This record gives sequence, C-alpha cells and structure tokens, in this order.
Amino acid sequence: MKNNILLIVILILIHPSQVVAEDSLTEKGIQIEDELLQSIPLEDIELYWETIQKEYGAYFTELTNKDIKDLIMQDGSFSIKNMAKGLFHYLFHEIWIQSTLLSQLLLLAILHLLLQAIQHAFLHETVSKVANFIVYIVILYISLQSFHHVFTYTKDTILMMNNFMIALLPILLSLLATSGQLLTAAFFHPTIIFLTHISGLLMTRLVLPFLYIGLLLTMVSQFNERFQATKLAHLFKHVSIGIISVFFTVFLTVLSIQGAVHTVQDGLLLKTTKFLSSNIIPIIGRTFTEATDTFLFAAQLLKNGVGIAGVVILVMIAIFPLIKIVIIAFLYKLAAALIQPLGNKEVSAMLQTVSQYMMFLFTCLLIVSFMFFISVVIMIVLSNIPLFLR
Amino acid sequence: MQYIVDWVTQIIIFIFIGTIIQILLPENQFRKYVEIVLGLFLLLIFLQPIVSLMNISLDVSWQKMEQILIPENVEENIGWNGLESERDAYIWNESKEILIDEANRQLTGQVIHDIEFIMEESSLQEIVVYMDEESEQFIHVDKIIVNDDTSYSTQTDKDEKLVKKLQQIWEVNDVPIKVKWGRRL
Repeated sequence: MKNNILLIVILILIHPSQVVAEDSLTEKGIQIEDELLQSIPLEDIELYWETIQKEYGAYFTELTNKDIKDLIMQDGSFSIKNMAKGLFHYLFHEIWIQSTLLSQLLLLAILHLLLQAIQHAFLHETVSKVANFIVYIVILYISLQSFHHVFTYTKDTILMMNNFMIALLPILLSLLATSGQLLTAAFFHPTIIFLTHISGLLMTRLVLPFLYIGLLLTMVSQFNERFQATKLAHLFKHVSIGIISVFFTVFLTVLSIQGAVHTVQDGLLLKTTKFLSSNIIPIIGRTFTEATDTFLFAAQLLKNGVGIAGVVILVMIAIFPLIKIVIIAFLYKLAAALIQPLGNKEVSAMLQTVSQYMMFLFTCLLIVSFMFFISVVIMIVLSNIPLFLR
Repeated sequence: MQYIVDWVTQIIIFIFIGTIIQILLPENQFRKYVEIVLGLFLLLIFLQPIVSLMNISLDVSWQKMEQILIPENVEENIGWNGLESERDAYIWNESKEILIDEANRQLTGQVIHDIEFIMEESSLQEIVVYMDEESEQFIHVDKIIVNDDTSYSTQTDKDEKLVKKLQQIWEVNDVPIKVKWGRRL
C-alpha cells in the first residue's frame, strides 16, 4: 500500500514536468540562444561586416541597416531580388569606370595604325620598327599597370578572407564544442587554421607571383620573334596551376573525409552519454538529459546562425573583387577583339594574354573563396549530423 | 622566391636589350652572327639556375646543413652533459661536507675550513686541506717548556703528523694530502 502511494506520487511528479519540457523546448532553446549570443565576443567579425557595409553599402541598401546579430539570428532574411539588383548595379558601375581603359587602348591602337601608315610613306622599315617598339612599350605599360592593380586587389582580397576566417573560426569552433561535438572541434581547429594559413601563404607568395612572372615573360617575348621566352612563361603558369589544384584537392579531401569520421564519433559519444545518464541516474536523470538536450539544441541553432553569417560575409568579401576582375579581363578581351581587324596582330595578342592571365587571377581568387566557403559549410553541415544520430 | 624574381628580371632586361640591339643593327651579313651570339647569351642566362645547382658542392652544403641541423655543442644544448656535470659537482660538494665534518670532530686544536680535490683523468691525485689553528677555544696547557731543544717540532713535522691523522680519519692512505694554513683564496 505504501509502495503504491509512493509510486503514484513519483508518477505525478514526473509526468507533468515531462509535458512541460516537451512544450517549452523550442521556447527555452531560443531563450538560451539569446543568452549565449550575448556572451560570445563578436567584435572581430563585426569589424569585417562594418568594412563591407562601408564599401558596398551603396549597392545594398539592406546591408546598411543590419547588425551582425540580426544576421546571425536571421531576423528578416535577405531578398534575393534586391541582392541581384545590387550586384547588377555594381557590375554596370564598374563597366562605366573601366571603360576609360578600353577607350585608351583603342585610341593607342588607332594611333599606332596611323603612325605605321605615315612611316610606310617614307619607305623606311627600321623607322617603322622603332615606332612599333615605342607603341608596344606604351601599351605594355598601361596593361601591366592594370594587371598590377588586379594583382594587388586579388592578393588583398585573399588576405582579407584569410584574416576573416581566422577571426571566425574560434567563435564557430567554441560553439561547436558547446553543442557537444568535442572531437569535431578538436579535429577542425588545428586542421582548418593550418590549411587557411597555408592557402593564404601559398597564394600570395607562390601562385600569384608565378602568374605575374609568366605574364611578364609572355609580354616581353611578344616584342620580337628572335628572343622568345614563352615556354618559360608556360612553365611558370603550369607550376602555379599545379600548386593550386593539388592544394585544393588536399584541402577538400582532408576536411570532408576526416571531418565526417569525427562527427559520427561525436554523435555516438553524445548518444551513449545521454543513454547512460537517463538510465543509470534514477528520476533526475531524465530531466537532466532533457535540459542538456535543450541547451545543446540552442547551441546548435546559434552555431548554424554564426556559420551562415560567416558564409554571407565571406561571399560579400569575395564577390565584388570577382566581378571587378572579370570586367577588367573582359574589357581587355573586347579590346583585343576590336583591335584585331585594324591589322596589328602583336597588340591584339598582347591584350589577349593580359586578359588570359587576369582570368587566371580570377580563378585563383574564386578557388580560394570557394575553399573557405566550403570549409565553413562543411563545418556547419557535418556538425548537424549528430542531431540525426540521436 | 627572390632568386627566381632576380633571374626572371635578368631575362626580361636581356630580351629588352636584345630587341633594341636588333633594331639598331644595320641589315648586313654580320646581323646573323650578332643574333646568334645574343641567343647564346640568353641561353647562358636561362641556364644560370641549373649551373648554380651544379656548382653546389655537396660536401660543403652538407657541412653547412650539419652546422644548422646538428650544432657542435648539441649535447650541452640538449642539457645531458650539463646535467651530468651538475650532478657530479653536487656529489663532490656533499662528500666534502661529510669529510670536513668527520675530521673536525676528531681533530683538536685545528679547524678545517675547506678541502680541494685535485683530479686528473677522473682519478683523485691529491687532497688539499685548508686549515687554521683553533683560536676561540681554551686549550688546557700542562706545561710550558721554553727553548727546549730536544722535542722541537717544526711546522713541517706538525703538518706531517696532521696528514697522517687525516689519512687515518678519512681512510685514504694512498692519496697524498697537502696542508695549507689559512683560508682558501
């Protein structure tokens, strides 16, 4: 009799609390998420966000009134229409700015043609050669100037993304650890920081300079038929492309395969702990697990929010330079196409090479941004796997 | 990287100069030969990294690498030898204290301040003992004999006696002991 009463009392005690826990799970989760958000240091990421707002706020009116915390909590999502509109604006703005370059090149080509025609009237081959040489040097100067501009732009963007990753990773990884994935955090921390640093170093110290050297050699060997160094230029180009592709492969493989293994282990670990605590500890065990679950859930949500904010900022950092470089490369290609009918093969070939190497720079930037993008995405997605394992 | 940049700069400058020379040269027989010579020069510049690779004497570069990788005082750096010598010094010091204590307990009238071990190739050669007359202690005097020429013990006699006694106390009969009066400098 006594035992029965005790049992009933216990049942009464447990039952409503469970119902309450079920109902207020999401509510509590959001509350905890808010509290967590207050306690993580976001200053470093905020700095980058403000830079983006300052530089590109004119194209995205949505950006200017958004805080980094809004971005993380996803209060009012971006409208894709407005984004596309902003990018379109930026594209045409850039074309408008860079079109002076195109007119310069065209003018030079026409002048060169006129000079040649006049000199042919004097019937002096050597004089015409000297004139050609000087015009080539002027065109070389202009195109190298813009190439150097693109080069430094690419380099700065890569370094900025690199620094941003270094700022983002500690927050993301600590949230990962908070949501119960210790092994994943422990694996990702050294690997990703190492790989990001290495990618920045490789790009800025090896790959981009090699491309620059390749361009210089190609341009110089277009001056004359006698002394050529195009093969050396090809060598440099191929070495730099090889370095990128090998590194890209290693990066993706390490992150995806190793990351997956660790997340699955984490999931199993969490599941076991939960099972043990809810079965071995009587009565309180269940409630305890539920509370922990709510907390883990909140941390998971926040981690996804921070990850998505990071991805958005990464894309923002990368997309404008990418558009700019593509436009400049396109204008060079257009100039080459327009000049070709005028009859000077060398000038058009030069412009063609410059545009080709600019496209290589573009590819480098694209690959690096893609790598960072993928690494953040992999971290978010993989760390969600244990949720399904529970 | 700097080496490659320098090399490429050389190539580019040479090609520029070659182009200018080509423009300046008159159209005659010699033009061909000048161009060939210039081409050979360009080849030399191209080959420069390979030549400098050949010039590396493997022994010298290995020695350099060895100096960088394995410095001569590596054992000291690692600290093994340093540790050993420190341990030895500690042991010697301890045994010195013990010996001094033991001798002072048994000697009357003299005090040992310090001992010095003279080593030669890790074997004990000599023990130098720094000692003083005990001054702050009253000595019971039986009889004062002035100018008795029969039992006049010289300083050296006294030293020898002391040495005998010390050898007996420390049980080191085969090691010579030298007594020095006064404190160790």
